[in-house]
Amino acid sequence: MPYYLNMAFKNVFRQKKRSVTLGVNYFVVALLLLLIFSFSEGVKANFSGNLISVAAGHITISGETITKGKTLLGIADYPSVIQAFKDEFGESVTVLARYKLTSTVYNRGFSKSLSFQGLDTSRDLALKDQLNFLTGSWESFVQNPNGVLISRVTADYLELKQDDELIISTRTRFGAFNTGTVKVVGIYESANYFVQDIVVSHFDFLQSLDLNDKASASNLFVYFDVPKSFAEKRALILPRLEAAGYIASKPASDGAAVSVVAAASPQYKMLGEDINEKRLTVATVDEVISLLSQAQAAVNGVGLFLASILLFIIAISIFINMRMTISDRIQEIGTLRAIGTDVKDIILMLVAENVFLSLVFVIGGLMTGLLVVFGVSNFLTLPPAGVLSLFLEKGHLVLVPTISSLLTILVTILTFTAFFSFFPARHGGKVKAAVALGTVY
Amino acid sequence: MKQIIRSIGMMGLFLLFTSGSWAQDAKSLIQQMENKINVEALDLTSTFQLVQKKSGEADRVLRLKIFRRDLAGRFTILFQYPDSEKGKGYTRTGDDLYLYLPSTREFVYRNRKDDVGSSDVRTDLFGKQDLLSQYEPKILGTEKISKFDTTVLELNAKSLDVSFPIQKWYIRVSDGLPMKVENFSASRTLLRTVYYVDYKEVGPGKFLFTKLMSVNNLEKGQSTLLSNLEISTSKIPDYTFSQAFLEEQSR
Repeated sequence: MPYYLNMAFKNVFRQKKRSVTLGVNYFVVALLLLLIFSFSEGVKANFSGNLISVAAGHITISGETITKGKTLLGIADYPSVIQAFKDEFGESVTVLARYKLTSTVYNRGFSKSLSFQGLDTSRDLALKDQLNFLTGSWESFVQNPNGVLISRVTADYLELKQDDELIISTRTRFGAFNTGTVKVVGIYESANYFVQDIVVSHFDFLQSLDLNDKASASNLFVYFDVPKSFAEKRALILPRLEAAGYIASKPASDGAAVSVVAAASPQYKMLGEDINEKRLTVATVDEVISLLSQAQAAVNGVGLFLASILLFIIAISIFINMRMTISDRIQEIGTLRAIGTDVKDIILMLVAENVFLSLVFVIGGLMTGLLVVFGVSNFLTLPPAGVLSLFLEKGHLVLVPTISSLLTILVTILTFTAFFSFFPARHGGKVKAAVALGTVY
Repeated sequence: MKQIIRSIGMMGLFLLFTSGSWAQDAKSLIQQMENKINVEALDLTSTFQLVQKKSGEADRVLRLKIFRRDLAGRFTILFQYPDSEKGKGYTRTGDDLYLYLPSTREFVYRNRKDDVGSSDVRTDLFGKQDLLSQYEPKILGTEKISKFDTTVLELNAKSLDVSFPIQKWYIRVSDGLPMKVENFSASRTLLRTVYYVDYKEVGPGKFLFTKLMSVNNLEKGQSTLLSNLEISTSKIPDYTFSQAFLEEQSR
């Protein structure tokens, strides 16, 4: 058998033009699939990385408090939730509280509704690394209790500059308007999509602006030292939260999981007056990004559709090539049959010839793909604006080629080639020696 | 010593009495004012034109038809102009306010704190006033607004379930009608000032404002001017205060 494989290998480039024409198809499909899979994995990694660093935890908690039927968004008595996590997971867990609200900012005749995020600057430092300061600094923000950090886009829109003071007005969680004065202590740019349009503020400042009590927060972000098995960890914490007086549950749907991260005061709705509850929704990061997974599946679907068109073209090319090759070499096949070569060995030789050809070009395509990924990831810089920043890290497109992607592409194309080569090869292999030797091409 | 204690006690009693009396006066002033501007005995149909002014922008004009039945705490507001807003409307019963969006044919629940068509005028301006259920009033003194003497009342919200936790009402001494209202945030920042420029008597001792200006004190140069175009006190069919009416009008 190795003899026929050796022959097949030697025959790969016997008809150079034909082989290269077919090989280019393999090359393009392998390259295309690698780029699509790398992009898809890159978006997922970048999205969850960006999300976890600033806008969600491995587990994210939102809540609502119902008093006499009136529902107010926010987590009541959040220190007891933190305590429940500490009791269950000890020092291997970090829980950070955030306060979020939307407020209108007024300056020089301009107004804009902005999303404020309040954080505890003594513990919550993840945002610090995501900000590229154009003016001001993180330190000046920490020192100024009513200081805010605003994005360059917001600064340009409202014509704000460093050290400007301005009035903000918000409808608090209860419905009453409240106002406060903030000072711009920094203007930043960020490549992180989730930071681009927020006003970074202090937790205590937003809490008091919202007329809320000291034990209330909008969200809790929970981070584990070992970032895996979040659903199992949630299953462990839910009973503890119940014991602490909360009605805790996982999100009812993917949309509800996203709402956990997006939760912001103020809102209220009315239920029956006899209802008094503290509710928590506990979402894992996998659930939060599940909507992204659907988008990712769509991206992959489009890529696979394009690849399948190319593969269809390859299938036809294989068929035509094989028929031409068999016609070319019909007398050789006849000779092989005459000296006693089995049908299956001839089929194997012809199939192996195509598999070797696809192997060479698929590997070439994958190697080129890796070079393209490396080049694009490192040398192509894009402006981190809007939705585009979902795909960027420090201005570079995030492409993640994985071993499993490479192997999947390789095995899929080789199997495909073997399958579509088999039928014309079987046709060639079955030709009787006398018929083959008597055929004139 | 006993005399001093007695004197202090008497002063305390006096202060308690007078402050209670002032609070009582404040409440009765509000009640008298509301008796004049709430029209329980009548149905009111009026058409208002709102002109919203913003610095650096062209004036925005809205025309609204308002059906009001104070006896039942109901009103319906129908947008008539511009064409882009036509068919939109509000209907309110008690605290429940629904906004109808003809583009999607849906009713959106709003609470009573909604501004009409993103203007500086609140929907509750067009309905029955019930300030004492939400606010605790006190008299601050007197002040001249234009050429009129007014009594200045400060209203502090009983709970934070109101848009403006603090309000100042300037009530004309001569007829007990409001001339100016200042709305403050919880931290006492002036957010909005409403000037009642003119009234029309729609029934015996009952008044409806016919010109009003609402000034946004945070957004400099932004104000809304309301002018009454027509008023009718004819009986309004019950159907007008229903969601079905708004749906029908949008077709």
